[in-house]
Amino acid sequence: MLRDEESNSMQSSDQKNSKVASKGMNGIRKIKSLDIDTSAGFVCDINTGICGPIEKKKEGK
Amino acid sequence: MKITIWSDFVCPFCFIGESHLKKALENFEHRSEVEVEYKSFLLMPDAKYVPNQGYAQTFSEMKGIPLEQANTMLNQVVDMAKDSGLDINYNTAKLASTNDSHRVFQYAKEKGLGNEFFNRFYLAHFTEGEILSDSDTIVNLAEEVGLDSVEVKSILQSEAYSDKVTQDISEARTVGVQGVPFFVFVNKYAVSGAQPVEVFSQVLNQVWEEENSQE
Repeated sequence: MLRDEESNSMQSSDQKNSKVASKGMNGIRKIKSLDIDTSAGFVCDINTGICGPIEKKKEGK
Repeated sequence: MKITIWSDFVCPFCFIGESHLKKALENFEHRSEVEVEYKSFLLMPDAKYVPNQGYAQTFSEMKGIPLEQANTMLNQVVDMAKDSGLDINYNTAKLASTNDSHRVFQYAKEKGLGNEFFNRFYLAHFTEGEILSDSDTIVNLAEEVGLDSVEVKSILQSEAYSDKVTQDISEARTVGVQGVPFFVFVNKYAVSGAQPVEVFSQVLNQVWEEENSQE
Protein backbone atom coordinates (compact mmCIF):
# COMPACT_ATOMS: atom_id res chain seq x y z
CA MET A 1 0.00 0.00 0.00
CA LEU A 2 2.70 2.41 1.00
CA ARG A 3 4.71 1.55 -2.07
CA ASP A 4 1.89 2.49 -4.39
CA GLU A 5 1.49 5.85 -2.75
CA GLU A 6 5.22 6.42 -2.87
CA SER A 7 5.47 5.53 -6.52
CA ASN A 8 2.77 8.06 -7.33
CA SER A 9 4.48 10.88 -5.52
CA MET A 10 7.89 10.38 -7.07
CA GLN A 11 8.70 10.32 -10.71
CA SER A 12 11.44 7.97 -11.78
CA SER A 13 14.45 9.53 -13.41
CA ASP A 14 15.81 6.22 -14.55
CA GLN A 15 14.92 6.86 -18.15
CA LYS A 16 17.26 9.85 -18.07
CA ASN A 17 20.14 8.16 -16.33
CA SER A 18 22.48 8.18 -19.25
CA LYS A 19 22.17 11.94 -19.54
CA VAL A 20 22.71 12.38 -15.80
CA ALA A 21 25.66 10.01 -15.76
CA SER A 22 27.44 11.93 -18.47
CA LYS A 23 27.41 15.15 -16.48
CA GLY A 24 26.78 13.68 -13.00
CA MET A 25 30.00 14.05 -11.07
CA ASN A 26 30.96 17.42 -12.45
CA GLY A 27 27.56 18.82 -11.57
CA ILE A 28 27.47 17.47 -8.04
CA ARG A 29 30.95 18.70 -7.19
CA LYS A 30 29.61 22.23 -6.98
CA ILE A 31 27.73 21.29 -3.87
CA LYS A 32 26.25 23.91 -1.58
CA SER A 33 24.61 23.88 1.82
CA LEU A 34 21.20 25.43 2.26
CA ASP A 35 20.55 27.93 5.01
CA ILE A 36 18.18 25.53 6.73
CA ASP A 37 18.64 23.92 10.14
CA THR A 38 19.22 20.20 9.56
CA SER A 39 20.52 19.41 13.03
CA ALA A 40 17.39 17.38 13.84
CA GLY A 41 18.37 14.76 11.27
CA PHE A 42 19.60 11.22 11.72
CA VAL A 43 22.24 9.43 9.66
CA CYS A 44 24.13 6.20 9.38
CA ASP A 45 27.84 6.97 9.39
CA ILE A 46 29.49 5.66 6.25
CA ASN A 47 32.73 4.81 8.03
CA THR A 48 31.38 3.04 11.09
CA GLY A 49 27.89 1.99 9.98
CA ILE A 50 26.59 3.29 13.31
CA CYS A 51 23.31 5.19 13.08
CA GLY A 52 22.30 8.15 15.20
CA PRO A 53 21.70 11.90 15.36
CA ILE A 54 23.71 14.14 13.03
CA GLU A 55 26.75 15.57 14.73
CA LYS A 56 27.20 19.32 14.37
CA LYS A 57 30.78 18.94 13.17
CA LYS A 58 29.59 16.96 10.15
CA GLU A 59 27.30 19.65 8.87
CA GLY A 60 28.10 22.26 6.30
CA LYS A 61 30.52 20.16 4.30
CA MET B 1 13.77 19.31 -10.04
CA LYS B 2 16.13 16.41 -9.69
CA ILE B 3 16.83 14.74 -6.33
CA THR B 4 19.72 12.31 -6.06
CA ILE B 5 19.74 9.98 -3.05
CA TRP B 6 22.65 7.84 -1.87
CA SER B 7 21.26 5.00 0.14
CA ASP B 8 21.49 1.37 1.14
CA PHE B 9 18.64 -1.12 1.56
CA VAL B 10 19.73 -1.87 5.14
CA CYS B 11 20.07 1.78 6.20
CA PRO B 12 17.14 2.48 8.54
CA PHE B 13 17.42 6.25 8.37
CA CYS B 14 17.40 6.02 4.58
CA PHE B 15 14.08 4.16 4.77
CA ILE B 16 12.71 6.68 7.30
CA GLY B 17 14.19 9.77 5.64
CA GLU B 18 12.84 8.89 2.24
CA SER B 19 9.36 8.38 3.68
CA HIS B 20 9.63 11.92 5.08
CA LEU B 21 10.74 13.25 1.72
CA LYS B 22 7.80 11.52 0.05
CA LYS B 23 5.39 13.10 2.53
CA ALA B 24 6.93 16.51 1.87
CA LEU B 25 6.56 15.91 -1.86
CA GLU B 26 2.86 15.12 -1.48
CA ASN B 27 2.32 18.73 -0.40
CA PHE B 28 4.83 20.28 -2.79
CA GLU B 29 3.15 22.35 -5.45
CA HIS B 30 5.64 21.37 -8.17
CA ARG B 31 5.83 17.65 -7.28
CA SER B 32 5.02 16.62 -10.84
CA GLU B 33 8.33 18.17 -11.89
CA VAL B 34 10.38 16.22 -9.35
CA GLU B 35 12.58 13.33 -10.46
CA VAL B 36 14.30 11.02 -8.03
CA GLU B 37 17.40 8.99 -8.70
CA TYR B 38 18.85 6.50 -6.23
CA LYS B 39 22.54 5.78 -6.02
CA SER B 40 24.18 2.78 -4.42
CA PHE B 41 25.96 2.87 -1.12
CA LEU B 42 27.23 -0.14 0.85
CA LEU B 43 26.81 0.79 4.48
CA MET B 44 28.10 -2.55 5.74
CA PRO B 45 30.16 -4.07 2.94
CA ASP B 46 31.61 -6.67 5.30
CA ALA B 47 28.23 -7.89 6.54
CA LYS B 48 27.66 -11.63 6.50
CA TYR B 49 24.42 -13.36 7.30
CA VAL B 50 24.74 -15.51 10.40
CA PRO B 51 21.88 -18.01 10.60
CA ASN B 52 20.07 -18.37 13.92
CA GLN B 53 21.63 -15.23 15.37
CA GLY B 54 19.71 -12.07 16.18
CA TYR B 55 20.23 -8.82 14.27
CA ALA B 56 21.56 -6.94 17.30
CA GLN B 57 24.03 -9.69 18.12
CA THR B 58 25.35 -9.81 14.56
CA PHE B 59 25.56 -6.02 14.40
CA SER B 60 27.29 -5.83 17.76
CA GLU B 61 29.92 -8.40 16.77
CA MET B 62 30.48 -6.88 13.34
CA LYS B 63 30.91 -3.34 14.62
CA GLY B 64 32.68 -4.23 17.85
CA ILE B 65 30.16 -2.43 20.02
CA PRO B 66 28.44 -3.73 23.17
CA LEU B 67 25.23 -5.66 22.58
CA GLU B 68 23.40 -3.23 24.83
CA GLN B 69 24.43 -0.28 22.62
CA ALA B 70 23.30 -2.17 19.52
CA ASN B 71 19.93 -2.91 21.11
CA THR B 72 19.49 0.73 22.18
CA MET B 73 20.27 1.93 18.66
CA LEU B 74 17.90 -0.54 17.03
CA ASN B 75 15.08 0.19 19.49
CA GLN B 76 15.44 3.91 18.80
CA VAL B 77 15.21 3.22 15.07
CA VAL B 78 12.08 1.06 15.51
CA ASP B 79 10.38 3.82 17.54
CA MET B 80 11.27 6.48 14.97
CA ALA B 81 10.00 4.29 12.15
CA LYS B 82 6.73 3.76 14.01
CA ASP B 83 6.33 7.52 14.39
CA SER B 84 6.76 7.79 10.62
CA GLY B 85 4.18 5.08 9.93
CA LEU B 86 6.79 2.50 8.92
CA ASP B 87 7.23 -1.03 10.18
CA ILE B 88 10.81 -2.03 11.01
CA ASN B 89 11.03 -5.43 12.65
CA TYR B 90 14.52 -6.30 13.88
CA ASN B 91 13.18 -9.52 15.41
CA THR B 92 12.86 -10.94 11.90
CA ALA B 93 15.28 -8.75 9.86
CA LYS B 94 18.48 -10.41 8.64
CA LEU B 95 21.76 -8.53 8.48
CA ALA B 96 23.57 -9.49 5.29
CA SER B 97 25.69 -8.05 2.51
CA THR B 98 23.75 -5.96 0.01
CA ASN B 99 26.44 -5.98 -2.65
CA ASP B 100 24.65 -8.40 -5.00
CA SER B 101 21.34 -6.62 -4.49
CA HIS B 102 23.00 -3.35 -5.48
CA ARG B 103 24.44 -4.89 -8.63
CA VAL B 104 20.95 -5.96 -9.66
CA PHE B 105 19.64 -2.53 -8.63
CA GLN B 106 21.99 -0.99 -11.19
CA TYR B 107 20.50 -3.25 -13.82
CA ALA B 108 17.01 -2.21 -12.63
CA LYS B 109 18.01 1.44 -13.10
CA GLU B 110 18.94 0.72 -16.68
CA LYS B 111 15.51 -0.77 -17.18
CA GLY B 112 13.78 2.26 -15.63
CA LEU B 113 12.83 0.34 -12.47
CA GLY B 114 15.42 1.65 -10.01
CA ASN B 115 13.00 3.44 -7.69
CA GLU B 116 10.58 0.52 -7.57
CA PHE B 117 13.51 -1.79 -6.86
CA PHE B 118 14.74 0.33 -3.96
CA ASN B 119 11.32 0.55 -2.34
CA ARG B 120 10.74 -3.19 -2.70
CA PHE B 121 14.11 -4.08 -1.17
CA TYR B 122 13.59 -1.73 1.78
CA LEU B 123 10.38 -3.55 2.66
CA ALA B 124 11.97 -6.94 2.08
CA HIS B 125 14.72 -6.14 4.56
CA PHE B 126 13.00 -4.12 7.25
CA THR B 127 9.53 -5.62 7.27
CA GLU B 128 9.64 -9.05 5.68
CA GLY B 129 12.88 -10.46 7.09
CA GLU B 130 14.35 -11.38 3.71
CA ILE B 131 18.06 -12.14 3.29
CA LEU B 132 19.31 -9.64 0.71
CA SER B 133 22.49 -11.61 0.00
CA ASP B 134 20.54 -14.70 -1.01
CA SER B 135 20.43 -15.18 -4.78
CA ASP B 136 17.00 -16.84 -4.90
CA THR B 137 15.55 -14.03 -2.77
CA ILE B 138 17.07 -11.36 -5.03
CA VAL B 139 15.73 -13.10 -8.14
CA ASN B 140 12.22 -13.38 -6.68
CA LEU B 141 12.11 -9.77 -5.51
CA ALA B 142 13.57 -8.51 -8.78
CA GLU B 143 10.93 -10.47 -10.68
CA GLU B 144 8.22 -8.83 -8.55
CA VAL B 145 9.59 -5.45 -9.57
CA GLY B 146 9.32 -6.48 -13.21
CA LEU B 147 12.84 -7.61 -14.08
CA ASP B 148 13.66 -10.63 -16.18
CA SER B 149 14.69 -13.49 -13.87
CA VAL B 150 17.03 -15.08 -16.42
CA GLU B 151 18.93 -11.80 -16.78
CA VAL B 152 19.06 -11.32 -13.01
CA LYS B 153 20.42 -14.85 -12.47
CA SER B 154 23.07 -14.19 -15.07
CA ILE B 155 24.10 -10.97 -13.31
CA LEU B 156 24.31 -12.78 -9.98
CA GLN B 157 26.52 -15.49 -11.45
CA SER B 158 28.98 -12.88 -12.70
CA GLU B 159 30.51 -9.66 -11.44
CA ALA B 160 28.33 -7.56 -13.74
CA TYR B 161 27.46 -4.06 -12.58
CA SER B 162 30.13 -4.07 -9.84
CA ASP B 163 31.75 -1.14 -11.61
CA LYS B 164 28.55 0.91 -11.42
CA VAL B 165 28.17 0.23 -7.70
CA THR B 166 31.78 1.22 -7.14
CA GLN B 167 31.30 4.35 -9.22
CA ASP B 168 28.33 5.47 -7.10
CA ILE B 169 30.29 4.92 -3.90
CA SER B 170 33.36 6.77 -5.10
CA GLU B 171 31.16 9.61 -6.28
CA ALA B 172 29.69 9.78 -2.78
CA ARG B 173 33.17 10.09 -1.33
CA THR B 174 34.10 12.73 -3.90
CA VAL B 175 31.22 14.97 -2.87
CA GLY B 176 32.07 14.49 0.81
CA VAL B 177 29.25 12.25 1.94
CA GLN B 178 29.74 11.44 5.62
CA GLY B 179 26.53 9.60 6.25
CA VAL B 180 23.51 8.14 4.48
CA PRO B 181 20.90 8.93 3.44
CA PHE B 182 22.41 11.81 1.52
CA PHE B 183 20.22 13.95 -0.69
CA VAL B 184 21.43 16.27 -3.44
CA PHE B 185 18.90 18.61 -4.98
CA VAL B 186 19.41 19.74 -8.59
CA ASN B 187 23.03 18.52 -8.44
CA LYS B 188 23.82 21.48 -6.19
CA TYR B 189 22.28 21.55 -2.75
CA ALA B 190 23.08 18.86 -0.18
CA VAL B 191 20.98 17.65 2.72
CA SER B 192 22.34 14.93 4.95
CA GLY B 193 20.27 12.51 6.98
CA ALA B 194 16.68 11.63 7.72
CA GLN B 195 15.15 15.05 8.23
CA PRO B 196 11.68 15.87 9.52
CA VAL B 197 9.00 16.33 6.86
CA GLU B 198 8.95 20.09 7.53
CA VAL B 199 12.66 20.39 6.77
CA PHE B 200 12.24 18.60 3.45
CA SER B 201 9.30 20.89 2.65
CA GLN B 202 11.49 23.93 3.37
CA VAL B 203 14.29 22.53 1.22
CA LEU B 204 11.98 21.79 -1.70
CA ASN B 205 10.53 25.29 -1.63
CA GLN B 206 13.87 27.01 -1.19
CA VAL B 207 15.58 25.07 -3.96
CA TRP B 208 12.65 25.68 -6.27
CA GLU B 209 12.76 29.41 -5.58
CA GLU B 210 16.51 29.68 -5.98
CA GLU B 211 16.54 27.70 -9.20
CA ASN B 212 13.69 29.59 -10.75
CA SER B 213 14.82 33.04 -9.66
CA GLN B 214 18.09 32.46 -11.54
CA GLU B 215 16.31 31.98 -14.83
